[in-house]
Amino acid sequence: MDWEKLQHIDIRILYAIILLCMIIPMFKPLGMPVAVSENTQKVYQVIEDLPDGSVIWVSHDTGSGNAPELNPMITALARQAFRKNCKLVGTAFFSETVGPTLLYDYINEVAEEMGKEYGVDWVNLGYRLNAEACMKVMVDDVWAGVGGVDWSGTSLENFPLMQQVRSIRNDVDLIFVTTVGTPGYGDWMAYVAQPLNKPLTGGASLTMYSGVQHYIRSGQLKGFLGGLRGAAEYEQLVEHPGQGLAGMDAQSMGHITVLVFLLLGNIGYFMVRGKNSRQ
Amino acid sequence: MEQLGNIVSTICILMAWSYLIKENAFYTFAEHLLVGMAVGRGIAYTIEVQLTPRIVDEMMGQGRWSLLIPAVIGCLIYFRFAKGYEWVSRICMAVWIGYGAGNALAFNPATYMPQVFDTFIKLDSIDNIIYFLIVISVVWYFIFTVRKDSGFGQQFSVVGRYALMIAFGSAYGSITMSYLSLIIGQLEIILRDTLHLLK
Repeated sequence: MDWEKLQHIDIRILYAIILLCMIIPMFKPLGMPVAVSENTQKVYQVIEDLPDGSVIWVSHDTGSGNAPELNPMITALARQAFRKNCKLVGTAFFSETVGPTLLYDYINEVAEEMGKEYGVDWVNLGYRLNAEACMKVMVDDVWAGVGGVDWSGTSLENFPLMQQVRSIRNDVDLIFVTTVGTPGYGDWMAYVAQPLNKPLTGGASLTMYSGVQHYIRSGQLKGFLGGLRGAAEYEQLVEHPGQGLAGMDAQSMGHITVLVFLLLGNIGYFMVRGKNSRQ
Repeated sequence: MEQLGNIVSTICILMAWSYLIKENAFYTFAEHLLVGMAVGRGIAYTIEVQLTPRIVDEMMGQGRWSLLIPAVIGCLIYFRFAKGYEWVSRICMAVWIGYGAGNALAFNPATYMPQVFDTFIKLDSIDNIIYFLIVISVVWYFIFTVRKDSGFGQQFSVVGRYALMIAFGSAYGSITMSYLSLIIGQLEIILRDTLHLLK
């Protein structure tokens, strides 16, 4: 066998095979089990332990690239929060275009389904420049931090919920942050959660997930969801399967395909090396 | 209208993916479209949600004219384009860097100190022992003022290096998983939202 070939497969063939392996389970789901991890259970529990009617600050700090991983988290959070009659106040500091729009779309979809009203049960404050300064101002004065308007430029005077939420310090019970970089959970931790001793949880893109483990361990994060997998686990706990669970079969097949190619590539490498050393 | 949006999304996704075959005009068009739209929307959003409330409501409405001070300092950055007066733009940067450094010194310890405290743990389980040893070995690896040419010092430094490599491997694996999730998101737009082939 020509082992050399295994290391020089045309990358486009690999792309096509990975794509195919991911598409097939989308049409014919394999129903692979998704076990709920301890970190996801913690996220669910910290929200479940809030008194009914609490205010949750949700910051969808994502760009377009990682949004498919994080959007299902927002949907599941909205479902759990509204079920407990919790209020949601949203921001999005990572991208001025993508984050606020997605935050609105995904919460609004659940809100309409569960009969919740914008301005009464939830508000989207959107993006503001200089996240850290804005966060620090909002600790004591949310209205000043966002300039007195929501994401669409409507005055906060029009929203009954915002009459109740004047400062994060006194009026917010938990912070839920999705994160793909900076600004993200690090800023919320440094400027809001740690100084105010507020529980901070949420979810990260898998690119960042290994980097948050020590914060979970030290208790600075009350659990954290990891990518699409974390979202799928959270959907299971909320008992409402959504985009997260729907994508898990495809993702698992993608992983298996990548692993197979990694193995083949390495087998090829060692066989060629062995052959060369024998010669 | 929603279907039109989905069709446009699908076309853009396919144009972007065409880069995987080779760089081509479709990909370049999609790239420029994305950048142009993001910048355009960003400018509109900044005027509507950032500038108008500050200028119209706070400054002119409530008389908070003190907001002019940071605004003027910020505008100094444009002196980069004034020949002979480029140095003025450094005032803006100096304020920004000074603020950033002071801010980091004031707030970052609150984030990092609990990490340090978390290493002061009871060594009563395998997890805790491994955790403790890895922390010490990695810190030891990064101490460059002590010679670690041989003996236990060198071996322990190697342990730290392997721990780092495992951490990097784990991070790289997570990145691969993450990118697959992104493909799923795009496939859902194409197959479910646009072509209605999925439920």
